[in-house]
Amino acid sequence: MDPLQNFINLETRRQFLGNVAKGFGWAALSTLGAKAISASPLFDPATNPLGNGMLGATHFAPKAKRGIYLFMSGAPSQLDMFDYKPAMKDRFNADLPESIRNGQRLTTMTSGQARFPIAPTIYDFKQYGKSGAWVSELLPNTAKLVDDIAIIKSMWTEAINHDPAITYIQTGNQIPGRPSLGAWLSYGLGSLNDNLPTFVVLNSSWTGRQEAQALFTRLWGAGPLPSQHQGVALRSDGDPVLYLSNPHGVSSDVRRMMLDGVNEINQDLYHEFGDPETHARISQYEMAFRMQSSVPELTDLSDEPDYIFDLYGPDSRVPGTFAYNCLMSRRLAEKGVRFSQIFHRGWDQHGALPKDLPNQCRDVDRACYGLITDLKQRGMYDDTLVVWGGEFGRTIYCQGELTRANYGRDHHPRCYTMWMGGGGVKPGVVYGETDDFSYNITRDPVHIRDLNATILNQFGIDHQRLNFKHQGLDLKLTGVEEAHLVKGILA
Amino acid sequence: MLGAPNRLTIDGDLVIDNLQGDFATTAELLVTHPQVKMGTAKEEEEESEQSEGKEKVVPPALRLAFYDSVVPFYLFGHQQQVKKLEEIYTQSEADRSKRDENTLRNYYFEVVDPLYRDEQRAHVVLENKYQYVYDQATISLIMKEREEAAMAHILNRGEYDKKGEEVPAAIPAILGQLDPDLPRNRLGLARWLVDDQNPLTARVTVNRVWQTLFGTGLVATAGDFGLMGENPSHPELLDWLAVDFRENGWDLKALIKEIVSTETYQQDSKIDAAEYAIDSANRFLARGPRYRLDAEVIRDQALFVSGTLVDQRGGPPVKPYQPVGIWNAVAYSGSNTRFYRQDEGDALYRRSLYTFWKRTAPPPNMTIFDAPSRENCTVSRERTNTPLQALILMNDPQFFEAARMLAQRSLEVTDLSVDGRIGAMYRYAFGRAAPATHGKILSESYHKFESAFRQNPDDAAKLVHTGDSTPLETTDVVNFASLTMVASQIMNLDNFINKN
Repeated sequence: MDPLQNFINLETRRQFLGNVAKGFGWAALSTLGAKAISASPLFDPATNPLGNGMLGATHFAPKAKRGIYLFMSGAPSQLDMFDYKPAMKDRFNADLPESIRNGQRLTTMTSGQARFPIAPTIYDFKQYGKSGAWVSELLPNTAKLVDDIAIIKSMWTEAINHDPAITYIQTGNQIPGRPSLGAWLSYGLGSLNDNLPTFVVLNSSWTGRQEAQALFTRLWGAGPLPSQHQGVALRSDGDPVLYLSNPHGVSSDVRRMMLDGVNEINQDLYHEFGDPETHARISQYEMAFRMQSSVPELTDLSDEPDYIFDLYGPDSRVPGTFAYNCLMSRRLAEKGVRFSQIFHRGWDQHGALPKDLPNQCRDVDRACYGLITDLKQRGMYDDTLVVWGGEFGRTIYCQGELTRANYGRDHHPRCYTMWMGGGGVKPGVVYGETDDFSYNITRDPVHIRDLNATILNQFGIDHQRLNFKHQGLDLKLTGVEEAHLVKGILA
Repeated sequence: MLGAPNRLTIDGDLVIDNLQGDFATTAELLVTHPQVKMGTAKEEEEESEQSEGKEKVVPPALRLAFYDSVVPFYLFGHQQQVKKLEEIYTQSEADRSKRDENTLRNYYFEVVDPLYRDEQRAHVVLENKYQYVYDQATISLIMKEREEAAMAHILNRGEYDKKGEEVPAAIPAILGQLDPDLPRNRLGLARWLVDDQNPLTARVTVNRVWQTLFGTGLVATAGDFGLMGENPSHPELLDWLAVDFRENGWDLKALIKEIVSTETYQQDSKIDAAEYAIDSANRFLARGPRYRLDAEVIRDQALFVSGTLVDQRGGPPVKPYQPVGIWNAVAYSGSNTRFYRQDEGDALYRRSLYTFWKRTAPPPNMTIFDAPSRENCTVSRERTNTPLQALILMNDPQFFEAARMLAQRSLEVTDLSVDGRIGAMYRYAFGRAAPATHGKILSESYHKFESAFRQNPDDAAKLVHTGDSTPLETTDVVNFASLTMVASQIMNLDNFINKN
């Protein structure tokens, strides 16, 4: 664009907003008048589907406008939940055949074990729905969803420990510091709303094993991307968004007066210096002000009817639980938050799996069902992508002492199960297959890179063409190795 | 020969009679032995109160010191060991294993030989003294070259267990060869870095200083002088500065002084439409720099302007204001940084450089202003402009308290009118008088605040109590609160957080 024309255009609101492309939303400057401060209506995705993302337009028509990612940190046991291996029943305490392990790397937590005795699941599996997918008794509600989702039994990754593995699936690299999936979506696509963040993170309480792995803010970080793309944690203690509340004694009226004065001087500074960033700052202050009312409205669940709480289960009334966060995610999606990610910890069942795993499953099972059912009844499921899963799987062999009633499972990156639904995902699919030991993939492997490429694809993004220059490289979520779309699960 | 087995009694009932290696207990420890006078080991207990404190975490840490003993502790109570010693002793020397030989030798020196025992005691005393000095000192890790040459491997497809070709220490081939006379270690690298024949180090350094001062380097890609980097906007200037810097003995202070003394640097940062048309990014430097300050600078500046900055140098990191739950939300359950325990007093007002940095959950009022995560090297920061930044500057107790302290500063000047106080605050913030228009707007704002607080004086009283410091005692809290709001306005102005 002609720079002079560009400069002149800065004086006009629309052009200015189109160019600055900063901040996670734009404010209508017409609301600067002291009285006209009520939250402006959401941008209509139909007329303005692509806020202020760097791509400007998606590479192709998106199937998903929004995403909700349910992240099970610690690695849920595919063997006790989705990947049914009836042949194992008769091999209780038998040694894992060397032909199956085939010299594959183990963690140091079990590499010193004298034996690798097979620990068949103690849970009953049944087939559900038209798809006939097998689901364990630990997930009675998720089982009702099998015809709405695609279950991928052939996920795999190279990383074998939590920190690198979770960093890998979240950012596309085991080395910390790359942008996370949500940050890429925010960077590429921009915002769907003008008073809430684009990428929201919700951390949940959990009832299984309490010694859970740490999380890291880098898992929702922006890496070298501009920091407005980092996930904003919506918290259940203190301010829902950091620093949202005014100091004690500062009422909303006083805040308005204060902002009016600041804006007036900033306008003057803009005329003096002509710096477009000043203009942007005025709009960011206005958005901050709007967030001060829109976020509390969002997080106040008192307008939800009882039947909705019943749908998500009783935990949904308890702030900070996974169920509560699922309900919150639906509200976020409704208000135009493009991507939310719920973290649920405590899935690292090295020992005492029968004690802890049922609790973990209870935390999430009803809530997952509630979320998808709720999205469906609101007509939002078609263009909302839902993803469920962790960073890797767990071993068929027992870690520690094996008894009929108790066992533990070590980390297993060579295969594990995730599921996806909505947002252009083909429902009722069970994709990929593993061997009798759920140790190796026998059909249709899906690397976590493939998963990330597919998620981007559903948002209308070619993963090869969403880049950011950093340290002499064109960073991308899927890295330098080949990634393939998982076409078998796409509608 | 050595008497009855000794017992280690913990909390009255737990008995350990086999002390090997480290062990941990939260109980008070009592060590008893019939032949040795009673010694107690001091429990090293970290403070356990938690400010966010739902769970009380007592880190089990205990070091057992047992220096009074004449006989090595491990020998007590181990009749088997005594028997073993007798067995070894009666064996012929030729039959003894090396290990037995050592056991016997240790026994001889530690129990029989009087000279050794004296030396050993003296050693223990010195060891204690050393430990005392060591514990007082701040620890800084330094690296030492190994005897053998360090070696890396190409890892095939990046897998750590798939080692390929050896890669000896050298500089990247694209940059030439390391002088064969230089050692292949960090010393060699350091010499190469500052060699007169190597222009890169000085250029890169000078460029980063330029970037710090002007917002953009002469080479805009400060982290990349290679093929993917941009060409310098002023190549001769870059070279001249680099050579000058090197010849001045790599004196950064002199370099900075040199740059900030230039007319180019001292230009007005106003943007002229015609100039903007030619050069929107100001690469030709027709105007002075203008950019948003870095996270640490914004916080330090607010503290400085309010007169609360504690300019103490050095020392361990501090934990200033931070919203609840930041650490806890992500921490490993057993972590000693699971809960954030905010400091008090001076520690709240130190420069941001000293703020404690937990990498899994860094301080949000830094990262929201684009302070890097410190997970990889960041040569150029992004400069974003977001609503969360506005919320910090308006609501973070660190900033709002600073505003109140700025108001307090103006109140401590006697004989001033309200407008005089507003003018004083502006001068503290900007080092110059307020332009008439700004003064007028701030004054009008003051009167709006005042009438609001006159109606709700309780709000005014609450407001001035933000933060840990004690507010000035005043008979007119409405005035104080209104001035605080004006101070907060000043500290939220675009030119307060920008370099102009």
